[in-house]
Order: sequence, then C-alpha cells, then structure tokens
Amino acid sequence: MKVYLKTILMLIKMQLEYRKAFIISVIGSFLITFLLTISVYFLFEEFNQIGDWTFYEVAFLFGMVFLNFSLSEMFLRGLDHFDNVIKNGEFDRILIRPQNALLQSTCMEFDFSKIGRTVQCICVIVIALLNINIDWNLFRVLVFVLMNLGCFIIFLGIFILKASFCFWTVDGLEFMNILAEGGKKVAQYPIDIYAKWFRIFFTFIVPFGLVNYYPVLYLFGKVDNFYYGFIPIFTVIFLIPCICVWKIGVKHYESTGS
Amino acid sequence: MEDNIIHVKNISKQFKISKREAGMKNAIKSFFKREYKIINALDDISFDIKQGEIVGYIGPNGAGKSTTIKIMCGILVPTSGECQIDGYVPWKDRKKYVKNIGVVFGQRSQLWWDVPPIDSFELLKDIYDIPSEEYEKKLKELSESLDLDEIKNIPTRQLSLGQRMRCEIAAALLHNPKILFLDEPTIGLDAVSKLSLRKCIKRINETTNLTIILTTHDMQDIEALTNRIILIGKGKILYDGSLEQIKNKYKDKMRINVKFKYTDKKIKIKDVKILEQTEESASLVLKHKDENMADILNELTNQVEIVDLSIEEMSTDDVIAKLYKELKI
Repeated sequence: MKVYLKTILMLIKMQLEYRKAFIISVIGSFLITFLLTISVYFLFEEFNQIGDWTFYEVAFLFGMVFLNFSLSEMFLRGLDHFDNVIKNGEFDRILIRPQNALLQSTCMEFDFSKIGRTVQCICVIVIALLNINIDWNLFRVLVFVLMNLGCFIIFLGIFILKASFCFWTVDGLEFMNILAEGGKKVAQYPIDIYAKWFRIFFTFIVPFGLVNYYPVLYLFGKVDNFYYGFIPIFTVIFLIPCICVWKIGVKHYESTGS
Repeated sequence: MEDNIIHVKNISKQFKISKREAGMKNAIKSFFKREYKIINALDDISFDIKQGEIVGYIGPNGAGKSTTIKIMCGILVPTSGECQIDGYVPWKDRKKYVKNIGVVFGQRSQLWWDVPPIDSFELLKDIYDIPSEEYEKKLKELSESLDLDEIKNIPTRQLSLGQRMRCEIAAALLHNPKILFLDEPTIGLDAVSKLSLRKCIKRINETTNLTIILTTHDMQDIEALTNRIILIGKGKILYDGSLEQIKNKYKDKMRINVKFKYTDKKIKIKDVKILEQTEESASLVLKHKDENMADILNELTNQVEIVDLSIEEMSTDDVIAKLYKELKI
C-alpha cells in the first residue's frame, strides 16, 4: 500500500510537469460532467419524476455513480489502460519486481485531471442530499459510506476484468466498455424502472443494484428494514471471480509470453 | 555443482501460434476456425554458470535468446525442463526470487520518464523494500562506479541514451542482486558511451563478484567483457566455450589482397592458397597462421609488379557471421 501511494505521488508530480495540459484536462472533465448533470435536469423538466423517484433522488444516484466512476478512473487508470502495458511489454517489468502484479499494474498510470469531475460530483451529491428529507443518524451515515465503497468496488471489479481481458487479446476491448460505460448509465437511475431480467442482471451479475437501489430505499426511508443498509457489503463477492480471471490471465501470459 | 549459481537443464519451450494465409477469404476462415502451429522456441537447452562469471549469450534474431532470458527471470514458464537459480525455481516463488536478480532491457526503460533518476531510485527502494542504510551505501557505491553524480538529478527524458543506460544499470543493481541480466545494453549507443559503459560493467563485476548474463549483437561487447560465450540458434545451443577458441577455428588465416601491373602469369607461392586472381589483382590466404609474412611478400614481389597491397585479419563480426552461415542459423 505504501508503494501504491508513493507511486501515485510520483505520477502526480509527473503530471504537474505539464501544466497547461493538466489545466485543460481538468476543465474538460469538469465541463463534460456539467453537461450531463444539466441533461438529467432537462429530463425531469419534461417528466417531473421517474417512477416513484424525484429529481433530487435521481440526482443523488447520478452523483454517486459518477463520483465513484471518476475516482476509479483516477486511481485505477493503469487497469483501464492495461492494453498499453501489455502492448509495449511493460508487463515483463512488472513480473520481475517483488510486488503484487495487480497492484503494480494499477500503479502504472494515475489520472489526476479527473479531480474536476470528482469535485463536481461531490457538489451534486451535497445539493441533492440537502433537498431530500432524510432522517440522518450515525447508521445512515455508515450506509452512505458503504454505498460509495460498494460502488467503487464494482468499478474496481469491472476494471480488473477489462484488464484481464488484455492477456488474451488487446482488440475488442469495446466489449468491456459496455460493462463500465453501460453499467454507469444504467446505474444512474434506480433499477426498479427497468425490465425484470435487466434488474436481475444488475443485481446478481454486475451488482449495481446492491449500491444504488436496496440501500437507497433504506437511506431515503422508503423501507424500514435496516438490513437493506448492509447490502453494499456483498459487492465484495463480485471481486472474487474478477480476481480469479486476472490470475488465470497472468498464468496465460506466463505460458505464451505474448 | 555448489558454485554454479545458475543451473539450466533440458529446458524446452513451445509456443502455439495461429497461422493464417493472406487474403480476405482466409481472414474470415481463420476468424471462425483457427489453425495453430507449434514452434519450438527452445529445444533442450542446458548450461551452468558460476558465481561471478560474465557470459555472453549470442545468436541471431529469433534464435531464442529473449525466451531464455525471460524464463530465467521468471516471466515465462518453460514447457519442460528444470532451472535452478541461486536455489530458486524462477517461475515459482516469483516475489522472493526476483529480489536476487537485476534486469536491464536495453530497448525498454525502467525509469519513470518525467522525473529525475534519483526519484525513480527512491521508489525502487520502496518496491524492493531496501533498508535506508543499505540503500544509501549502495547508491553511493553505484554513483561512483557509474559516474551518476551529475546526471541523477536531471529529468530522465533529458538524458542522453548513454547517460540513461548508466542510470538503468544503477536502477537494476540498487537492491544488490546476485545476478544481472543485460539485454542488449549497448544498442544505439555512440562509440564513446559504449566504451565507458563496458568499463563500468567490468568494474562492477570485478568489485562485487556479480554474475552477469549479457545478450548482445555487438561482438566488441563480448570481447571487452567476457571470454565465455553461449551460442544459440534455432532454439538449440550450438556452442558453449571460449570466444578465443571459436575465433581460431573459424578465422581465415591472414588474407592478402594485392593489385599489380597487368600479367597473365599465375602466382604460385608455397603454403599460400590463391583465392582468386584476375589479370590485375589477386586475393591470397595463408595456409598456416605462423607463416613468415616477409618471405611471402618477398616471393610475391618477385612474381608480379605490385601496385597496391593490403593485409587484413578477420574481425570477430566476420567470424560470427561466417559461423552463423556455416551452422545455417
């Protein structure tokens, strides 16, 4: 962990070397999310509400999903761009260092410019929460934190899957983007607005429902059962198959050297 | 056996590659049904290397040099065979094993591009978990032997290739490994940088008893650094022994090129072979190495009227090229 933090500090140092590029990309990432937020707003102008959900409630989900997506793009950039690591042979270098290969791959890149988007998402969440009537207590704060952790873990899993895929082929990664981008789009809205098979997929396969639906019901006081608040913990299970695929990928790499 | 730090026995490595013929039709066909071809990258490789030895590992492109190095670094797992390096099997126990080796890939940098090498060194200190005291000592030692003091604070991207290569070697040695793999360290360097790099490598080997495996296409590297070469071609070891011996075996004895005034008389000298002769020039080769050159030249001047004359000795590059040709690799 210490190595991870130090590497990230080093990468930040490197990005700051290129000041103009850095400022432009911060502004760019801020603007893109801003437009998206506006688009959600206009959607509600039109429909007033989606299912049983008000604008601020959906804005909250939107903020949370985008926040964790931004954070994972920032901290897990190395996995996101893992095809480069494979293509230019950097993975050999990773294998001859006495540290965990997955951790090192994550450290390969760090995109600090996503800070623009991150800050904006935090603003959206704060504004949304101020406008939703929530009966705050310590437990609900914990639920809020768990939801965010769970959301980050799902993106982590998807990014690990996407990276593992590169051990077999560096083409056709678009398929993996469906999971990340599509999941992100889907998860902006509560999953009860979707068809049933869709809901099952996003609860048991790619478990966005575990963070943006069940705990939210409890947080917003739509259900009283506080077990709902613990549900985000189960996202950890999603990591197990992802890490297995990664391990198989590394084995495959070691026997082909491609 | 005890003083052999590297023990490689009967290593083979096969790759499965998909084969495809040119053309759209075949491209579509191979999309649905791939045909694979098995190639033997390494075929029954065995050798032993002693602690403190420098070994030149040579062979033409595609002979299996990198595959061998990758297996010895634990990056690849061989299809069969055994390999013991400093008591470890490289591809098992990877994390413990790699603390004992340093690797420099000449074509790839291990330094972080936009920061000075010293920052990279600091990070490597954490990656290899080197105690501060040992790190400081080693860094000082390497700074002296590789002359780093002036360059270690300049961003890596601004260093010349030669300067960067010195930093690469330092980065590979910080954790005090017992074995150093150098994969084409002098590639792309100018003559002066090459010389100074060789001197540095030699010095480190002498002072620390470091075992070095060197792959290169530059025979001067080999001549300057080592006397033992392992020659590999098409996945097989073809020669393992001293460079001197191979040179003596394959070297043409002295070769004399001579130009002379027009004559149709055939040159005839005892113990000298005439390779070719035209009406104005000839190439001669001495049959024995210890022939007296003066006598031969004397004889030659008696027979023809010399205009120009040169004597050449085959370079090591020529010897190796001839060797490759002869072995058909």
